[in-house]
Amino acid sequence: MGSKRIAKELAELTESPPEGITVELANESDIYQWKVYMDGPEGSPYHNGRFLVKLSLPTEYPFKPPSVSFGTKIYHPNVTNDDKGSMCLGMLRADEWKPSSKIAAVLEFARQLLVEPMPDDAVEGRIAEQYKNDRARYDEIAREWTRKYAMA
Amino acid sequence: MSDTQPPQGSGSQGPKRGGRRGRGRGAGQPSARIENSQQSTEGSGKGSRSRGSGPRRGGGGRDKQNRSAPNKDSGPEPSGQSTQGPTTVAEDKGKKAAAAPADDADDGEICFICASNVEHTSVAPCNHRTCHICALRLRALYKNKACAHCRTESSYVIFTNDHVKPFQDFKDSDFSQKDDNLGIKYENNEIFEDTVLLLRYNCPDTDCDVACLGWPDLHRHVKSKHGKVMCDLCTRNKKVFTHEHELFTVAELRKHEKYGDHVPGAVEQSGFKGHPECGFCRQRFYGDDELYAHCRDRHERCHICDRRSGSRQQQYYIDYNALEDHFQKDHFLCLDKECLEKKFVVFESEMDMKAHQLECHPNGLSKDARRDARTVDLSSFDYRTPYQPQRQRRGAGRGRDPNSEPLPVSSAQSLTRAQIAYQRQMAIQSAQSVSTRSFGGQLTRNDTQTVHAPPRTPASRTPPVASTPVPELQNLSLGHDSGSATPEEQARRLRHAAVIERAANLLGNDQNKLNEFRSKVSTYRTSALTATELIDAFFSLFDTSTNELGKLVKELAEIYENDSKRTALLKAWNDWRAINEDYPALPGPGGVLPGMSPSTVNGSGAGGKRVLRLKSSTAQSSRSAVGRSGALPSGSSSSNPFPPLSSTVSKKSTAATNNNTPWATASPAPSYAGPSSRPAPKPSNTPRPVNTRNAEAFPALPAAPKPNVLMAGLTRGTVRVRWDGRDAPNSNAWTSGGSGTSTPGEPESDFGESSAGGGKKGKGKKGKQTLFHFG
Repeated sequence: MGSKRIAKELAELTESPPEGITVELANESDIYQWKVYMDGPEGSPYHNGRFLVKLSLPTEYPFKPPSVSFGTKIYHPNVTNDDKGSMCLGMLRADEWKPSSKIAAVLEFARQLLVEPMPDDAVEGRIAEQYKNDRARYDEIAREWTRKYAMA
Repeated sequence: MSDTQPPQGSGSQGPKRGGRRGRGRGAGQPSARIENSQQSTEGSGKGSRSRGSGPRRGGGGRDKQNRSAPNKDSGPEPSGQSTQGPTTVAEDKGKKAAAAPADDADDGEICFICASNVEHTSVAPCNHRTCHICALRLRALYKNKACAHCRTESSYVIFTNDHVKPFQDFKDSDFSQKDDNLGIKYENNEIFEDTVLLLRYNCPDTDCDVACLGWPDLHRHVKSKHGKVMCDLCTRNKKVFTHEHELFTVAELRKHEKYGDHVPGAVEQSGFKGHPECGFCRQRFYGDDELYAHCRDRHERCHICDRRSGSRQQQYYIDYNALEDHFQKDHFLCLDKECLEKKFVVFESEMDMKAHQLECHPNGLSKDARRDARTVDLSSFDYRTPYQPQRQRRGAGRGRDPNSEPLPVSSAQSLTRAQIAYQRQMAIQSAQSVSTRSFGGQLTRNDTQTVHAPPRTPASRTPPVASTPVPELQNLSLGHDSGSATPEEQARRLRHAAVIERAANLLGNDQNKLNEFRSKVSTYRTSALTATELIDAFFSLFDTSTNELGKLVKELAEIYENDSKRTALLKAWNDWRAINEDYPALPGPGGVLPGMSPSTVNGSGAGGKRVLRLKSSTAQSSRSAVGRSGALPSGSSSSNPFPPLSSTVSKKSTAATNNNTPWATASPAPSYAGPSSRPAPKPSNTPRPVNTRNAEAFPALPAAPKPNVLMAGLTRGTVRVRWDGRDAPNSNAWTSGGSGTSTPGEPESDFGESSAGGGKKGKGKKGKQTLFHFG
């Protein structure tokens, strides 16, 4: 159903990827699982890190939203600090998703979230608290984790 | 015409349309487009853009529409539009269209949403355009009336071949058909027929143009004609058109259910990983959401553990007994008899437990025991790990420290000897961890029963605003005008409130939808709508399980004081169930095609080719579509026990006279007094008249005296059995059916009273098992 649209978006993203983002299929034969490499944006504690982001498209795409998770461990209020690394994006919620939203927009939004976390929409409350109240410490840990996990 | 050149095809429609409208665009598509590009040249000076898409491409105009829209305010009025009348509206909308995504610049005639060729265009009031298939998918399958681009809800969209004409420029006279349920207005009959074809129960086989009567019929068809099966869970839940479902061999289906459709190396992968299974029931569910709902409803979770673990991992217990075992083993369960009966009287800490016992069961304690209970055992306080140490101590530390001894069962309550003995036994059982628990322990393994809460669904589906509808119940007059508040009147109002509340809940408290529900119900009351149409309308309105809808319909039916209205509604509901079981309805036509020529309906000749063409236009991999004319006639004689649809075609064909649907005529079932009537008449009595009257049409289920059972327990087994027997003479089939249904007399009487559609598994199962006997 949505395979044409996905193929189209993949072609567009491969041809002219947004800044700091490269996409490929996790497995050549499965266009529903994408491997996205995201460079930590400049000005964020994730700078110089390279993060693997897994993008999973439902069979009902674009009528159902994709889901985004981090394959690289990252210290961030909006990414679960477990083995799943799920990322919570407002635009990906079932009741906010629009079939016209494109994967490129999703990825750019995700990258923007690295620059500017949304502590009020956090999945990791503790990190969100720290981000709000003790930014220096948050930056420090985030940078350390980036060095440790995202600079292999 | 092939699907590669839809705009040209639509061009041939041009003269007819233009002539009817009398708009000066009569020359049809191409010239309309040129005119438009001129408009934008004058209007905004952006004429150069038209070169980008070229005059041949249909979507070029659309692109410009979006582009030029923002400039309409500043630029001079396009001459073409000013003669067309509602310019202010057009301007208004022009502003809205400015918000349109600007990046669909080179789409041409490709739909922005599905990236396929646009065959017909759908225009929403926000003037966003998609192909008609995407729009239909959203409205008919997802039951979502929001625009795919901007999520603006609209009660109607327009299906047209015009790529540029704004929504507001359409007049009522421009439409040849209108579907109130789906909220679609059709510009001409060709589009209407193309649309309705998609909603039929088309066989998924690429080369087969048979359309079936309903899901069971389709299952039977693919089995007998193609030797294939369809995935039951997918057909019930997957939001795709019927012909987009997959056909499997039995072995393929196993694999599909278990592992999904992953084929290493194949070009087309669906990414589907199989239907998850409930580890307790060994039953599969469509997806994680459905499994979650099942576990939530049928199995138990420990609220204490949930609170502790932050509820990311959810551990389930098969039933309350297993949960109680867990309470006893890992937490502090009050063993008082009343509390055990109340269930869930369990505490996280010993101190909470003691407090509870002091408060609720003080009489059972001796003075000393009460004093002891008030002493707080400080040694058990450990702020870091409040849970583990306590638990160990309970078993190991017994007797060493009198203070830390948990309140002995015997001293805590006033118990008879027998009770004490019983509780000792329970304690021993729990202490020794006997078979029940280890069994439960196996089943509650984390990996099998860990379900991730689907992000929002449960919360959004049952919003807590359930109280709002109640005050409004007076507005809804289902029965008649409210008079004095006699007790009956009050009871009736309560029932109204219940119906409205249920409807509101099912509709997610969407006020618009609720209003629509109300208006449908009242049009039914005034007989402007037949029962069948009402049910159809419900299905396009509610996106919910048939069980839930069944409850609503039944509650609604009970409100009607007019007997015939009530029975007609229940009848229509049962008929619907008979065809669709609990598969998702394809709303609107629902297998019966309004206003279509019989030849098209029968799938022979041109109609058949059209289906195949449509299939290839929505199919992922397009094999060559070979028209097979006369496929259905052969099918219907040999293996299709169903008459062709032609006899039912007249349904809805004329807007007002709807009473001739075969189901509705049968509706005032003679000896049927209503849902509460006991099954005094033999079930075999009622169906016969129905059956003979509609010998041609689809066999209605017996207007059974036990709608409860029908709704709760109607299973595929039952339906199949009846249908298989249909080749035999009618009377035989029904008498055998009669004898069959009378054997499970006991479920009938057992469950007759209990509220309907309850989805209580037990009932359904029981009915099913007995009915299977003669199948």
